[in-house]
Amino acid sequence: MALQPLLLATDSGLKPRIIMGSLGLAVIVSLIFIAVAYRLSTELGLDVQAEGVETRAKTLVHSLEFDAANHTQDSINTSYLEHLVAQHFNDSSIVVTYNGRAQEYGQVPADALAAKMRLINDADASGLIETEAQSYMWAKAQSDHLNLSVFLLTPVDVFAKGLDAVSKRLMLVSFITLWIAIWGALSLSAIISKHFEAINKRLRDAASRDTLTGLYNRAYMQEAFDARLQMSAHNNASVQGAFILMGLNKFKEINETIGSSGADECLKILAQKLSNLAPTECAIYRYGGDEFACWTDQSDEESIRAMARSFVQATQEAITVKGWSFNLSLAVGIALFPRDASASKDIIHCADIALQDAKRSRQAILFYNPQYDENTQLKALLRNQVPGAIARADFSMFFQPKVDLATGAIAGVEALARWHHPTLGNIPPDVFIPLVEQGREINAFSRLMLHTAIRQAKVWETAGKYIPVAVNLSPYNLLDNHLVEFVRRELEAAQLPAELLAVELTESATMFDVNLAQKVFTDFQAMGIKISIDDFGTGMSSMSYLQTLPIDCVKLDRSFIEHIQTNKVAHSIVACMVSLCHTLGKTVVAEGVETDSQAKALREIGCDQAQGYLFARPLRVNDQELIDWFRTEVPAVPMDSDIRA
Amino acid sequence: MLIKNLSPIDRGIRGIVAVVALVAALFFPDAIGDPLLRGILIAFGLLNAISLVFGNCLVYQIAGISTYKGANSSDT
Repeated sequence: MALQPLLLATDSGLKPRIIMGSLGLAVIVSLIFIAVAYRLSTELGLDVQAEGVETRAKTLVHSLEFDAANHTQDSINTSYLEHLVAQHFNDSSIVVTYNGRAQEYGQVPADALAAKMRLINDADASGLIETEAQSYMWAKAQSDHLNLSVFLLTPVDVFAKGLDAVSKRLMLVSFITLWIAIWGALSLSAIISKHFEAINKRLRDAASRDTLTGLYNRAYMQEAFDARLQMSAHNNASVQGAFILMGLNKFKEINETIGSSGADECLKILAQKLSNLAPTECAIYRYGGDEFACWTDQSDEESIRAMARSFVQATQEAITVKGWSFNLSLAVGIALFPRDASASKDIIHCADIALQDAKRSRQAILFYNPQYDENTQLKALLRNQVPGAIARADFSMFFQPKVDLATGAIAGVEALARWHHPTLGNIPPDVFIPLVEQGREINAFSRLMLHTAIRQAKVWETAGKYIPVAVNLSPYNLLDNHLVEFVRRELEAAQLPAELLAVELTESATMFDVNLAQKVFTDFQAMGIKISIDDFGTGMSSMSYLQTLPIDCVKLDRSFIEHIQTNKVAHSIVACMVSLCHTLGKTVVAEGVETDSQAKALREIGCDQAQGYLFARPLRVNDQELIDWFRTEVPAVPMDSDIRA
Repeated sequence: MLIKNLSPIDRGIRGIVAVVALVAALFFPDAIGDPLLRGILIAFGLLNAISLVFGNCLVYQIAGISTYKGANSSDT
């Protein structure tokens, strides 16, 4: 489905069409006027002639009457009549009817004419007879006191001489009218169409170009590209080349440092540099925001890379904006056509993916790799499957023991979920939790976790094992207004003492909103639930959180434990944190303990508990290993979806 | 500024028209009859004469068309 180009179009057909249209109109109007004028004047001429013929007939009658009166006789003088005819009516035919007798004088009308004469209506006084050869005007006149009537038939010329002067003038005027009409139409239409074309051009230009940088904008680029593809498809030629998408690294920071007008200034400078650098046949388009695009016909990766490199190097020169001098750094994503995609939308998408990856991996220039897209697509697929998985509770709960370092006995468990995907197998939380958060299913999921964990803890409690179960919460759970109520209800429904439930939030999670965290934590603490901070020490505000939030337990991040034996600094940090937490009355748990020596060092430092593969990996309830830890076997509570929201 | 936009044929036609109109109007007023028409003819003839002399038709210039095939820039 090809859209008609909007920005590339030209008005080339507009002006001639307006001119032709106006001319046509002028000619038609003039011709109508001329035709009507001619008919009018012809009719006028005929009317005048008819009057003339009538008058002649009347004159003849009066002459005969006068003559009869003069000679005091009641009959007409035929010789006088013949004399009159010969003198004054020698071009006509006359029929004189006296006392009932008709007598013809003058020229004898032809048979066809005679036939037509018989059709004459008695009521008319005059009329026009037309034959092929000649037109005739006839008139009747009657005498009042003599029984006399006269019928006069005279040939006429429709375009009579009397009409000459009028028709000449008429012709001249028609001609001049036509001339003026044509010239008028031409001028007017030319002026109008020029006006329109100018406006259209300005509008198109405004719509095609980006107002800040003056470069062609995305819409124009799309059209130009589509037109190019269409044309080569039409010519059966193939288009080859590369689509280059460039973006500034850390544009947001630049915006915050020098303000948006300064950032605009930056973009203008960058646009200028890029345009100057680009070879003349490759136009630089402003793709949007801080991104610029360019198409090149080259298909050789090396030369394209060289071109991209020249762009990147150009931007590395320091620029001065608003008194600040700094360097821009450009990231470039390149997609090859038609290798990576064969439609204009897709090739841009590929270049975009390459650009995002270049920015993420801090590489300057990156070619599109179909694999990137696959990962993204896979993630998108999984994300869509999350709600269904939660509804069907396609998860199972695993428990990882936390061990008391002094006694070696189990001090608690952390509940972890695994997603049983039909085709991908078990998906661990660190992969699917972000998807759940992105899909906004996190509240439903966390409630599922809490519900199951509480019931499992109850099962253990009933069997005589008072081992607290810890559930991980996400920062988004803090936004759930009914979370605390839900937990309270679940604890009541299961009749589980709150001390056997613990919640863990990662430190970066609590950075979300300290006030909110404080409120939720306080509520939990009031109920008796224990609160832990996970991955402690990796965030930016560890100490201030210790101060402001009601925490019971601190879990040291595994990165500190990993190097505790090899790195003196790590060792010191851990020792310090343990000491600090103890001073504040918090329990310390070490995460990710994998070797005996690490455990030993931690024991020496005085760390309270440890969790890690050294002791146990996450286990199911009916795994023998977990049964050994608990020293009792209990049934597993399945994760089911039958929970009240 | 008047630009040349008439070809030689165009100019020739306008010249003939000018001559006919002016001669008719000035030397045969009776044949024309109407003084108004005479005045129009004279004006008409003069316009065409000007076109002949300057090689420019104002209407052509406004419309942006040209029958002149020479080296001058015409706006289209």
